[in-house]
Amino acid sequence: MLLLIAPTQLFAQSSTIDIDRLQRATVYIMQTENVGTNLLVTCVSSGTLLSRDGLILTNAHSTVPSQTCRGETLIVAMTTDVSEAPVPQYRAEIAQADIGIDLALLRITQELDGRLVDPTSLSLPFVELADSQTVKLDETVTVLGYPSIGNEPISSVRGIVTGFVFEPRNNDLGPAWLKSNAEIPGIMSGGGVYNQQSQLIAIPTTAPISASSGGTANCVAIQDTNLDRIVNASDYCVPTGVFINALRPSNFARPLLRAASLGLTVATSTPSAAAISATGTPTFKRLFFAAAVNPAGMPSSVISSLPAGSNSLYLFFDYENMTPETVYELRVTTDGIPNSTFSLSPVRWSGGAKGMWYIGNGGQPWPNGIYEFTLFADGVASPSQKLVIGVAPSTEPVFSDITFGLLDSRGQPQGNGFVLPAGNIASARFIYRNLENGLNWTVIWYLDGTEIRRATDAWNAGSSGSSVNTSIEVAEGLLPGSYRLELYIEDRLRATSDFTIAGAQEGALPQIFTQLRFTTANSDADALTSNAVSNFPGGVNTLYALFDWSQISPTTLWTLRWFVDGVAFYDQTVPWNNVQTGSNFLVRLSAAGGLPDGTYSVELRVNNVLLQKAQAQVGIGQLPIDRFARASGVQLRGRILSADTREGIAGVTVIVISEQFSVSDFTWNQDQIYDLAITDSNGTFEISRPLAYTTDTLTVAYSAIVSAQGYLPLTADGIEVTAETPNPLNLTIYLNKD
Amino acid sequence: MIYIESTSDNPELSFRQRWNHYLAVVVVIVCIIIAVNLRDAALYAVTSYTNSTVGISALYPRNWLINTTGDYVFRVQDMSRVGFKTTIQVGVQAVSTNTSTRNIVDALTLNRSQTLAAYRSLPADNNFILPDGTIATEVSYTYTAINADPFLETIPTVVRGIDIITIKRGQAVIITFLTDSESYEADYDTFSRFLDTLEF
Amino acid sequence: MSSNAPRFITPPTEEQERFPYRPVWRSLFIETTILTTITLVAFIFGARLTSLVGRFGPYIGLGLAIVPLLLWFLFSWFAERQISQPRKHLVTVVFITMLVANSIALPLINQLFRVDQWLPLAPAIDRILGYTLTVGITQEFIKYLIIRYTVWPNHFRIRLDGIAYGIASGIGYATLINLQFIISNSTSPIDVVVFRVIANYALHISTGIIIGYGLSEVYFSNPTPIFQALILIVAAIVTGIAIPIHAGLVNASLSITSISAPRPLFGLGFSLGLLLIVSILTSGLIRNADRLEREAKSGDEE
Repeated sequence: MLLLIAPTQLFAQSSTIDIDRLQRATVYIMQTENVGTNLLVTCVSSGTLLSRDGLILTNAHSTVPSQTCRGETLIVAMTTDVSEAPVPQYRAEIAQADIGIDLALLRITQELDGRLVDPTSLSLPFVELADSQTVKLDETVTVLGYPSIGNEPISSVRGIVTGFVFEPRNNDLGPAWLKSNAEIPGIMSGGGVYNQQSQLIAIPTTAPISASSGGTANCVAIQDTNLDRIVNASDYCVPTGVFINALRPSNFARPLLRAASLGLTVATSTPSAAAISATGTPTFKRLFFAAAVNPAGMPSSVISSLPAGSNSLYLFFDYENMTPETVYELRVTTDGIPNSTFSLSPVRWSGGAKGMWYIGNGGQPWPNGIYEFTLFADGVASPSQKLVIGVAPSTEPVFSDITFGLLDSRGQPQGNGFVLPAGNIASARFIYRNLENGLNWTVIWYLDGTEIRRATDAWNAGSSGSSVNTSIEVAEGLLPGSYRLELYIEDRLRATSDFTIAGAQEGALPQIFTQLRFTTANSDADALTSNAVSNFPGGVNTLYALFDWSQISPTTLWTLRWFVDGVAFYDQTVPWNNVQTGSNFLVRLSAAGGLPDGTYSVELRVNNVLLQKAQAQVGIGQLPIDRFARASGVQLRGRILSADTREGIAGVTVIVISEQFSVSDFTWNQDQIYDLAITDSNGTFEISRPLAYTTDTLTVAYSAIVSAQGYLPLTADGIEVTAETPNPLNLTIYLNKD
Repeated sequence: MIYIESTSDNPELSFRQRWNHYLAVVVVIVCIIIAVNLRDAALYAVTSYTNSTVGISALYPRNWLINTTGDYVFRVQDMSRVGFKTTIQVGVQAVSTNTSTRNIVDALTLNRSQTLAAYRSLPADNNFILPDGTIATEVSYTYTAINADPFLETIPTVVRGIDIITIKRGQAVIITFLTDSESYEADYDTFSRFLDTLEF
Repeated sequence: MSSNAPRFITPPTEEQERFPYRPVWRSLFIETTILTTITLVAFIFGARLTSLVGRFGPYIGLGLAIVPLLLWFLFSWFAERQISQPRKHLVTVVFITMLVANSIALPLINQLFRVDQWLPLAPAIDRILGYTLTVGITQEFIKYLIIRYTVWPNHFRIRLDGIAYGIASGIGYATLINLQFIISNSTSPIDVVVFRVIANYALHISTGIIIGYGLSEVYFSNPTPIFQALILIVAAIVTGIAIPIHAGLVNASLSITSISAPRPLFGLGFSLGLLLIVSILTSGLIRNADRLEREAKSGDEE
């Protein structure tokens, strides 16, 4: 007999964070190495499912094969019982990885026994990414991960956001690190940090330092890898890392996620970048402080102290011989006492091999005191630098806000500020305060780290202003490359900034990249001669972007970014490694199953200055809507029992019909089904797709059918869930026979 | 008082008494015949499916769940079945003039062996004659079906399946039947009736 | 003599002089009352009882399955031995019904009609029609044939004999069904078993009464030739209606606010109501037929 019930609404206890779903979506990852017929664990970490078809976000250092983590097979273990350790279920492969920012996206590809997995058959619990730029100071966060090497069940730690760390990355993404006071064990690295809306805001990240580099190693031996029947220091040890206080914001994962979920791959067939490899010991030098940075990532001014109440401070330094596998760390002490709030635990290096970098803290007040900053590279300390906070506002002479350009007829620098075209002369303009005429001031120009011009003079421009220019002129022409300007007063550095010379001159602006265009072809060679196209048919497998370039010196850092529908999926800043001038630099965008419909755009930048941008449309020019993208909602679960035996019935089908249809409208068509589940041997079922909430403005009413041969079916219309509905919603259903 | 009973064996039945019995038997037989027809109407009820793009039409069992969004033309499953859901699937594949059914069989075997647990091909009569007289190739196999949900404790089921493969009008038509191996013989009738109605 | 072995010949009671046969309705009432009481006790203390009996649960279940048969033996068959005009071959009817039901009826229902595969999922009208023409006709025809060929008409002295034999056949059929349920569901809790037992008991007794009444009328009233067929159809319809209604009353509704648990008390009420109604109607029909017969005889004598 078919029974219908009236619309129901539940009013139960309210819940904020959906801890059950988050726990199920948090996985334990074991990187393993094949030794004979055995799989030996080489590295472990936590991870988070970002899609129902098995995309996992985790750290790159524990999953991408490296010297520290040499395994090649990734095993994914899942929590099936929150009171027990995770159980290995799948194998995964790396879909996307950025070793520098230490994030990787894995894709589940095989069952544990090696059988291929059809991603469309997976219905795994997943979490949604939040915009990490919306995270506020003192916001409560919950961290989930596995605290030990597979021994313990999933663990959660609560804390608050205590600060934001800024580094020279894409400014659109927000701070490079979040800081928290939560005590996060090292193996929880790669797990998830959630806001109160159960959205992923960050990934706890730390990189273990390998013993081979000379630094302190945190690792444990758990297996007899050398087969001497003893597990001791002679065996391979699994790195565990130290306690984490750095959280990589989730915005850094968005490009990787977008590329992985759409299956997009970007490759340059023209040699563009040499692999970043270390030729010497990583070193830091020329440490100095600034109170602010400009959009080009340059210090506004060089300071030696800060007044009380300051809420931003940046430590600048030059670096050499750094690689993406280098682990760097910043330790800050306040009056000799370690200060974890402003320190940065060991993390992977995300800059280039050589250049200038900064680590800054903003948005939070700095307590008064004497601060000492010490940088570590692979566990080896560099000379430290001190700063006093809490002094009276300085009256010392100040140079600040250096910008560069070409002087016009009125003597005003013109240009974009930090990228100049090749020519004979380059001019800099800066602000000055508190100067006195007669003070000795020195200007030093560098090219690629080598001093090329120095001039000392007596100051005669008055005490304060913003129109002082200084220029460098070379009759033979200024070579393309990376330049630096340092301004000293009485032999003390007061301001510095880097700029780049590249490209032909067009007015005051450089023409570095030109003829940026799109095309499609059957091969790379054909693409070089194909006509430019801006509209492509849907399903095209490969898209080419080509451009010409002019006067770019080797090691000039240039940025290539790809977007689809306005969201970045590729962002790489690498040194130029090609001839100085040429044409038809080729970038290939491909997807195995065909490029999804959308509007694709390419940006070319130097020093974060946008120099070229172009756009092309594939298909209808818009990505298809993913109806499974929502992770929030009520999880429906339960048990189906036999009324005769009160035992679970295996193989019963539970169907949740889409809100557009009722039971009487249901014609047994898959298109009408919201989701369905089949009970296991205990009679337990789970509807993997969360039910959407009914709100004041939107009513979402589902229908359901429970059907099994030999039993009377049960049906219901008007099933609604609200924010007060228990989540997960556990049902107990009895089926009767006639 | 003592009662003494005297009964006679086989008392004479009247005409009406005899015909009460005869008519009762007749009514029961009629009811049983009606019941069998009701049973057939319920068990063998069908729904039609037509795909004019690929030129396939068929009648499949009523109240089986139909899905047309996978890498097949359509698939129907008996969702009321407790245990493995009996499945009938029709798919098409592009072929060239050089493609033989053996090539298709090998490709299916290779693909399935990578995704299905304990996949085994079974010996079978390779030639299968479809109701319209077309000679097709039959492949029989078994595998173990496992619930993909890692959070449920499902006992794997041994599934037996057959593929009927034929090449027609430049495309290969692959008709697949999957069911629990324990009920294969009983369920095969359903597949036979489906084949009788399949047109392509 | 009405008994096989010698016994003391005692004077019959006054009631027995007037009515020397076992009062069928009284026996039925006593048996039903006791069975209902057992059911309610098991329902109230079911969970505790189930945990107490532990691994002996299947044996307790078997015992519960034959409780109606034991009660029948006690209050019907044994009572029959205490009177001067006992009915013969009651036990024969019971056990032949069990045997034939097990060997013919159940295979017919499960393997030919395959009711489990289509009737539970069918719409309401189809379920009634389906159960009437499959389970109903089969069960009632089996009872009819057994009574018809074992004790009819030789042992039909009064109309109530048909009721007694119908009840005996019903008891046999119900006992077999209950035993089959226990064997198939050995882990069933006690409170589930008792409700299933009484439901089967009430249904088969009710339809057995109808069949028995039909055979009595055919013998004593010599009705139209289609009378027995109509009786069979009526009994089958009672089965065809009772099964879906009982299931519908017991079946839980799908709810997300509470456990979707069965409602056995509704089923109990329906079963007892069905038995009561059939008993009252049949009793009334028999009284009326007896009265008409007496009036006809007295008219002839005049």
